[in-house]
Amino acid sequence: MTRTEAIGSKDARSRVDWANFPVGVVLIPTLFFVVLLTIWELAVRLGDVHVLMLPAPSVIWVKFVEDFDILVELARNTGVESAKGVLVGSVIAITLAALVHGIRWLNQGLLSYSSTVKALPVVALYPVMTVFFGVTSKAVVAMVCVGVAPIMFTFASRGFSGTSEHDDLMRSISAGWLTRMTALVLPRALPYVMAGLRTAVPLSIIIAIISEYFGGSVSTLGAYIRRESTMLHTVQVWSAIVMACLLGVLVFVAVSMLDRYFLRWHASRQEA
Amino acid sequence: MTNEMATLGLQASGVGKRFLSKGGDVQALEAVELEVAQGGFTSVIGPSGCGKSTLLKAFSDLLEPSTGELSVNGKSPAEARAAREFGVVFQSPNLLPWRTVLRNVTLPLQVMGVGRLTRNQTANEMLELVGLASFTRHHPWQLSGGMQQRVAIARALSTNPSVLLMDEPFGALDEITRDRLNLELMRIWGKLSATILFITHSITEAVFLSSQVAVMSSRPGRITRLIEVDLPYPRNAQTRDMPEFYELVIEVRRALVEASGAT
Repeated sequence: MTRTEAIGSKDARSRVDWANFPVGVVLIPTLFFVVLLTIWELAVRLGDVHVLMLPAPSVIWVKFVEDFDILVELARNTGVESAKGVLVGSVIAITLAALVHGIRWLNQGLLSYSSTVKALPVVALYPVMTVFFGVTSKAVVAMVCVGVAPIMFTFASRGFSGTSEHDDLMRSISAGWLTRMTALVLPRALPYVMAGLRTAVPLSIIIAIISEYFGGSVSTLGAYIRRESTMLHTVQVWSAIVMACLLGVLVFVAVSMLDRYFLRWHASRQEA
Repeated sequence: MTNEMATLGLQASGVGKRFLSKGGDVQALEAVELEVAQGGFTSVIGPSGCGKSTLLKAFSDLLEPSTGELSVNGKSPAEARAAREFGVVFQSPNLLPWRTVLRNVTLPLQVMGVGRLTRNQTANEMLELVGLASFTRHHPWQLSGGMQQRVAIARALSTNPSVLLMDEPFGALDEITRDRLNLELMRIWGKLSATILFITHSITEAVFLSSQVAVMSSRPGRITRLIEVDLPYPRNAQTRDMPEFYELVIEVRRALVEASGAT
């Protein structure tokens, strides 16, 4: 009946089944991972693969530990760039969606525009951004912004578009615009905004790293991977890739935690 | 009410509502006449889609009638809404899922600009009245359908309105819960002496609660009969065992059959 319940049932899929938690979610993937690393290690050692072609996991691990402080610094810079991009892009997109949701033609126009941008390989825009911002970290932030905003706009506009019996309630108690926004419209859009972030945040890391390949701040994951690869420092490249993976996992966990916190009133976020 | 000119709680005269749609226009209401005295309890009963909810929406200023006049305590629905003369209880509990039970009940008071302390106190009183004093910190999803609807009643009562407009509030509940909430509503009404307009499709519910039952036909939605229910108040579980209760149930049922036969 109400829309919130409708999304509730859709989101129920993503709920973790705690009864099967150790086996299904932790044990099997861990075993899989260990087996994979073992095969990799053995293949490199027995096959006598050159370290510049493919270093063994143990070699990557040693380098990763050795350069850990540098890698953390790189990940931090890349993380900050994508976070800035997500923040700016989301604020613009959500504000825009909130402002135009009553104006049908404008909303439709912006929706088709954002679909076009979503279909575009965003990285192709990097040269344009360097025209605007120079080869700086600002250009990377702008790239993330461009990638994130259409996604957030689409989700937020879906969140703002529906009406429900709650609108009748607000009218019946003669609620003003501000109360309507803060008590109904924004919280009602929140599950959609969170769904948008679950897509946009991992993507923001990808866009940031690829943009950094083209230049920008020197001490970022993308710039580091590119520089080391041109110098054939394959081990360094791989250790930065490991760090990039960790960064990806970290932001995913962070978004999930935000989701749990902000949607704790949502029936689908409750453990049975 | 000694004064003959006393303002009516609710009045509809010549109310019609036409909905324009692609499959042809629908005459949802036609020439509806209804009067509810202040402090009276009137039920409107009719088949699904007969326009009874449309009538309630017109009284609560959620839609404009095409023809005719409506008044709530002598005021137009729009004025009455602005003056907080009425509270509305919807078909679904219509609670905001992100707010706790307490903050759902305080919402109308928040809109009025009542201070936090006062509104929490009022909300607590209302929740006590509906028997949910210990659930203030719960979220709606933690409550059963019947409990949620009781929260909705507390919310409608929080601004102390003199009129309560209830749109099939117990329609989605099982019969046992519905019977219990009917008793609750009688108890609450006895304390508040508000004017109530109650939409329902249950004959026994209409007879049990009301002092007057308005029977509606569908397409066009018209009030075909007004049946006075002279069962004594306060009504309680014993009321349902009275032979007069059954006679009235039969009378309302016949009126409904006649109403549908007339179309």
